[in-house]
Amino acid sequence: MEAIATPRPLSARWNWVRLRIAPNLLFGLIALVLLWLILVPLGQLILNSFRVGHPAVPTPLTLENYRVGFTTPLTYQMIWNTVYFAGAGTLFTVSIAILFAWLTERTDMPWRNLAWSLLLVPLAMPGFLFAMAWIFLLDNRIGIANIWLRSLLAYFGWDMETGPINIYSMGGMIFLDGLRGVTTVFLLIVGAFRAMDPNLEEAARISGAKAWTTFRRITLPTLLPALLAAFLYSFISSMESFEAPLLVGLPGNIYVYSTMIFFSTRLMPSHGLAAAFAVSYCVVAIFLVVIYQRVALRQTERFATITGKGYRPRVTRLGRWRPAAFGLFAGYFFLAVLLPLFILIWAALSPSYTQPSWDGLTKLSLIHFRRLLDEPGILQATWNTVLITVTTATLCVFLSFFVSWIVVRTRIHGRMILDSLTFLAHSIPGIVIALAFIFVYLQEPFRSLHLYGTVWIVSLALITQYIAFTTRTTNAAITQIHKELEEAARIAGVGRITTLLRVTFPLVLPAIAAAWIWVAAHAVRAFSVPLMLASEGNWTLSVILWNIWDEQNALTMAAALGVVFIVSLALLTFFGRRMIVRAFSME
Amino acid sequence: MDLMIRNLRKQFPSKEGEVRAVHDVSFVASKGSFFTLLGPSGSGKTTILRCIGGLEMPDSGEICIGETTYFSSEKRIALMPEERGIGMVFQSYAIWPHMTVFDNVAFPLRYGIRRIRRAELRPKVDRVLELVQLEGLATRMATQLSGGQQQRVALARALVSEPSLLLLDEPLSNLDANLREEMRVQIRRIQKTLGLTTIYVTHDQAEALSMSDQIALLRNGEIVQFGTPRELYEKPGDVFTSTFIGTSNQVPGIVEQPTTPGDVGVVLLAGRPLSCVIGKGCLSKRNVVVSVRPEDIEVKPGNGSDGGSWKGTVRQVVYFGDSMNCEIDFAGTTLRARLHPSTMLQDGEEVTIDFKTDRCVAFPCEPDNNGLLRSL
Repeated sequence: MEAIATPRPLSARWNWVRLRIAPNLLFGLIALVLLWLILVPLGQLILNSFRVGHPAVPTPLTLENYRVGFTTPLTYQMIWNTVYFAGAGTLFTVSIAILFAWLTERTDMPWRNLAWSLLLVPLAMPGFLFAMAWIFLLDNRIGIANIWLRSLLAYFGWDMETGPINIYSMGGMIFLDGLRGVTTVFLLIVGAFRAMDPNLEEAARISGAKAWTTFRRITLPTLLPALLAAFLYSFISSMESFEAPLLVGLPGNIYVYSTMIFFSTRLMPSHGLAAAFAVSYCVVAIFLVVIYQRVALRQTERFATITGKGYRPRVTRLGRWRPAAFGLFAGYFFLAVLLPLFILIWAALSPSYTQPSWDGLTKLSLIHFRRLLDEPGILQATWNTVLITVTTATLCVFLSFFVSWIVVRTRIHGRMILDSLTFLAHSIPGIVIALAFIFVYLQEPFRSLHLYGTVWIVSLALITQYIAFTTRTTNAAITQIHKELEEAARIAGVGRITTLLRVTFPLVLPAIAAAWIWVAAHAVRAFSVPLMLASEGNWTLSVILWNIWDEQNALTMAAALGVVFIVSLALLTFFGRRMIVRAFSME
Repeated sequence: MDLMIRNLRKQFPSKEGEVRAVHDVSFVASKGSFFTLLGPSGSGKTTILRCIGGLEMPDSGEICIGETTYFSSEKRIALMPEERGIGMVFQSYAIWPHMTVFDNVAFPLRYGIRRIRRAELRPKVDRVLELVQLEGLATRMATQLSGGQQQRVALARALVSEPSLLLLDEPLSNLDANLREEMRVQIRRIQKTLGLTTIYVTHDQAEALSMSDQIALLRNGEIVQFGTPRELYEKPGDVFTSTFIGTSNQVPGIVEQPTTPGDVGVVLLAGRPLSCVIGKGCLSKRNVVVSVRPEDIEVKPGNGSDGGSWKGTVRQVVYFGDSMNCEIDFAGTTLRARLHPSTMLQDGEEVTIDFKTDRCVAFPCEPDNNGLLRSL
């Protein structure tokens, strides 16, 4: 056996320093980036809630915004709207999700795999297109469903000019938002339904309890933590919801927090007032997220005790209701995907908007698609969207990989600060992040970076919005990799960086890819953030779409752009479907 | 090259303040020897190994191999793991699942600081795969292998760069009993063939006894006893050693004739004199516990009317085929004896007992020892 190569000659002192300092340097760098992305905007938001006037011209501090904001009755109406909207929407969403989870996991419903797929497809449909499509269907005057209903009612001698269903109402908002939320909540709770130990229920039945009693006394309490987490999650995301409140809430004069903030910056415009609203909104949001995390954590602890066996829980026999059960999924799919998609395509192909008919079929043309090409800035917007999507997803997973590596692998004091920072970002709604970014990049010292009005400010805001999710993904991934796999590489004579590249990175790659796709799928159709930060030159496709819809009022052309959007999303979804299921199951 | 560890200390932060994992440990493992760190979980044995490997930073002390200093808090030297030129087999094997067997084994030669030219790579990897008897499996994905094969891949990877020191962290604990037996022999064969200084960590005393040249027995981060397997088994320094290595009965007695510690003296056991090894701190006429190995007890049926031996009652007999365990009520305690299977005994039978002369060891009966006895 030959002697080993002598280690590279190094000064003893440098050697020692390098070992102690290098990880701390990385930590410092990452911490700075997170502070800059998360804490600086939050600080600016709070500071500017005490200022009036244009954000580019800072004024002395004042309580004016809070006084104005919280002495207007409209504000309390808005807060009540938000609570009502989120609460009712959550009930609606969670009830359906529970039913679906029970049907897929605990009954002998046919075609369970197909039912799963039917539930997953709605994820690909952006919220603003969904709302647009339902406006085509349920608009007071031109909505097809309303027209049909009116003719049906006229047959019974019941004539009306408009309606009977008004989408521009609280009910409309709840319907749109609730329906879209089902998939995510379903994915959140289906695991609990699957993992439930059938022995628990069987023991109750053996003890003489009837099926319904067993469900009420055993099944439901066992599932309660998971359901509670789902409730909170759904409530929080409804509170943050922007698309439905914007598209159908505003025409009906129904404001919620997110639209109120948006319009305080647009109509009045008072960024300070918007900031005051945003701050009060954040306090509630952070509070809710803290509770959610506690509940969700408890749930995962419970999960640890009831998973891991390869059983399939006892299923309820549905008998002759089996087809009907599947019919519910088909019905959901019809309402959430087929019908909106059909109406969007129809509108996109109609030269001027008419109801679907055999007659109209002959007049269909691609004229709106051609006109889209003439729309000024559309190519630029496409390029912007691609650029924002790719940079956001890439930087986001890159950053979270290092955050997780530090949090999971090192013993640096203060590493948990990184975790807390990403958690904070998780609690802040996108619209608030965007508002805060306006302050940061319109004021010194960051104004000199000249990011305001570029695509980069949009990308940075989106990174801030998604970093919490990707960090959770990479945390889990790195935790799953046995520390010894990395240590073995070091012992094999390989440096830290090569170890990261050759061992750690390839092993977390599947998780990173899933996180990348998740971010990309969200960033490509991001709506509130690009819209808030929109100024000439950084428009994305969703901003153009809103512009065509709202300002030009060219509904059919907006539909055409929507169809383009959906087709490209569908292609993306199709190619990354396995990753997407994985990514969304982690939510 | 000799491995020398001097005054090694390491503490870990925990919720209740600092926990000392390694406390002032010093030893020398001489060149080419198979050195075992043996101890219960939490005794600090793995921490010592990880300090040698550079995976943990000791708080203070010195680790040298030959002329090279791996770590010295005094000289402020701390080599990175990759600079130490050692091989290590991890408890989990740490086989990289995204690589083939060949890539796993070739990794140190490809990316390590001792990398070699491409042309030399294949013959070298093939040779080491042959050494661990994995020839022909080079193109398999590492995850397709059985536990025993994965273990040998880990060994091959540790050996391929011809390290000056081999570290083994409980490498056999995840294998089933038969395979473990076989791997003990294989590891020892390879280690002897290469003349490789090896540090082996285990909590399994049978492994330690059967494989090692030297054993350091650890408890609570300190070395309790140090010696050859025979020394540790036959001359345990205290009750902990005698119960942790092998099994032993503790029988109360009184010192009749003390000697210098380690020599044979006489102890009164249930009123009869027994000549046995006297441990450190046993004073005349004081109470002691005598540690008796099950195989050093002779049991005969009948109550031995001659009065020349100890008496007891059989409580329970367990037949194993190759041996027989017998629990005997004796002088207020229960003796466990290992007997030849041909012995015919029945529950409740009166027996005469003899202890093999000079094989038992007496320890002072301190409160500390009693506490320990109870806890064991």
